[in-house]
Amino acid sequence: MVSMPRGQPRTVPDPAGNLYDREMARVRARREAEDRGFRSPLDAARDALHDFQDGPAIPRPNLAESFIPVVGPAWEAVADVQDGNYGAAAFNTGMAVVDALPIGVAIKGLNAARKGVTVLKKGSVTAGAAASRLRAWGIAKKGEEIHHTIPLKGTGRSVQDPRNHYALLKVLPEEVHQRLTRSWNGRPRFDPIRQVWYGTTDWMKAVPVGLTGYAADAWENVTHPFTTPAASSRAYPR
Amino acid sequence: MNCADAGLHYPVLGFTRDLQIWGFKDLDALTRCGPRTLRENYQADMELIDADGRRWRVRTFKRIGRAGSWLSLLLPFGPPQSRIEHELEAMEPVSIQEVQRRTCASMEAFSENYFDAGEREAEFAPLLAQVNRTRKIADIYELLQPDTFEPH
Repeated sequence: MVSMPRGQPRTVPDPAGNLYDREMARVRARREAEDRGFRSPLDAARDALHDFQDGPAIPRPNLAESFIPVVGPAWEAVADVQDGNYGAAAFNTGMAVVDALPIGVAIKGLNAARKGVTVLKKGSVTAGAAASRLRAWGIAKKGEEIHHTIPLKGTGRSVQDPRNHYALLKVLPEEVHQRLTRSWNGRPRFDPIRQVWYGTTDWMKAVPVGLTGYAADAWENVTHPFTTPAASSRAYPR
Repeated sequence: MNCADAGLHYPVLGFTRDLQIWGFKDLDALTRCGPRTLRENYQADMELIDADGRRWRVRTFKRIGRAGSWLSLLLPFGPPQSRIEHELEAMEPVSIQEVQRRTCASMEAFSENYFDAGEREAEFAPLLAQVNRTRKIADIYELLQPDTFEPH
């Protein structure tokens, strides 16, 4: 029993109590929302992750399976998520993306081949002949130029040269092509990073990245096959 | 009369209806083409001028079989090659000057294939001058190395 001095208010501020009341109101509101079938996406995702991690264990791919492009690292990534090893999951997701890059380039290449742009140019291998075909097939449109990824360095456009094969050519807008080597229409020459980015074909960028990815993935598979920290404390069905 | 019967002296230059110039170093190159050429009937009415200035018009041409490597059947190494046979019609021979004029007209029509933007004076004009200085039809072929119908 608390007796307040005469003339003093019967209620006093209670900061801790107010915070408690607010938190309880929030919890009550969430429970009521859940009872009505409403859940925040974050809660739903968190619950789904918990259910996934507590559910049946996903067997990890064996060494051969882990080398299957895209599927192997993606499979590893899913198993890593189940183990709660998010670092390894991020690494394997990256590897899956790197695996997919050359596939994307290959699809683009096949699409180009369907139009006649094959790996090697048949017939005359001059710059003029290659340009003529690319323009005739609508691959190089008006206002676009054909860039030699390996510069001709003064070799005439009517001279047969392996640098004129389609695989080493890239169609670029005129301004982009010109700015690879000089300032153009008052705009400066590209910096070295953009020179490389615009001045090389997709396969020239994707193949080294893909090969590096394969090497890193292979190294990880061989050196740390099934020894993620969380994985070591878990029994995997075989 | 087909190309073998005509006794063409190589190299042979070809001028299609759209003013494009083509070049053939031998009978094999002349009688080989990609699928588009057949599909678009692209060689119809093409004029052939051999190394001696003799001239023929292609009345018709047809596929008579497959040509080249089996590898060309694979999409990245294509297009698949066909062996074709022409039906030629003999025409009046032409002079080197006439061939030079037609060559220059073809180059002007497709000039963007012969130089980069802004380089017309440096690249294209000297090439036209070189064409006009040639003394033989074979020189024009050597100078321009025109395309065949293999990629088309």
